[in-house]
Amino acid sequence: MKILDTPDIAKWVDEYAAGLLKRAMFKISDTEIAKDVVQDTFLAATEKLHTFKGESSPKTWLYSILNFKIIDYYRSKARQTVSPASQSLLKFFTETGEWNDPKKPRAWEDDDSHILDDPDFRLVMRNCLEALPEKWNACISMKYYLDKKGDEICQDLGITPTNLWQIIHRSKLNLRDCIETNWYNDH
Amino acid sequence: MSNLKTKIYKGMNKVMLDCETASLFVAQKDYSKLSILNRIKLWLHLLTCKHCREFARQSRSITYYMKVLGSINENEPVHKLSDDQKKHIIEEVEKQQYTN
Repeated sequence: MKILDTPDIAKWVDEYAAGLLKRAMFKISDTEIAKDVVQDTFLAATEKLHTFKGESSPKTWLYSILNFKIIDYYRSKARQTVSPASQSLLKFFTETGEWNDPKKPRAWEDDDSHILDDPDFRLVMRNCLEALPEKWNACISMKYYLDKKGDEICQDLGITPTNLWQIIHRSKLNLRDCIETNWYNDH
Repeated sequence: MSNLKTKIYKGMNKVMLDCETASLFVAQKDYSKLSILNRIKLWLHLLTCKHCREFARQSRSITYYMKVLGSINENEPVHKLSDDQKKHIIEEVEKQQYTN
């Protein structure tokens, strides 16, 4: 059996780092964090080198480590506590559960798929996502960026399905409100 | 007679959702985890409440936007991971091996 040592890792960095970073940046919007995650991937690979038996290609192995590291990142985000003010629905609904007048969803004009061709709109979207509490952002990102199923997210983040629905509900309410305020009211 | 009215009123309340619950069901429906009874309640509510209908429509749009956003990379092209950055990673790897 071939024994792998530092030169091989160095070769892997040269060969795969760019590809890994590209993948990471699709899943994590912050470039610096994506670079850290790639570096962590190689550090973890070095540490676990003895477990790499060459059954899969180094590339496959590195990508699987990267996927774990990306989930780790979202998991740490999900551990952040959410302030009671963000949790409260009183901003959106009256005590009897009716829409609060200023927060009633209004019709959006030109709400179509082409709107995403506009970089300004994408920026508004991304800023609205960033404005969500970190925990909610992690759930939403895992759902849509990592394309994970609901029960996988619950398992990865250690939350109940009811919890996840509440988070998605509150995130949608906040995103909707943020898009309306920063895009439709400004135009 | 008024007794009947109260009964009807109570019965209506069991069937009619408030907007807060209706919007929660809208979010939940994406996961198709909604019971038949709750689906019917939601459908009845959406028939009569235009704000919740709007919320449902926008909620679908947001889901779609999110999925597309996840496939658009706004960052500068990354195929040029600089040699310095690669060197940095290799240095970190060597540092770790040294400490082990």
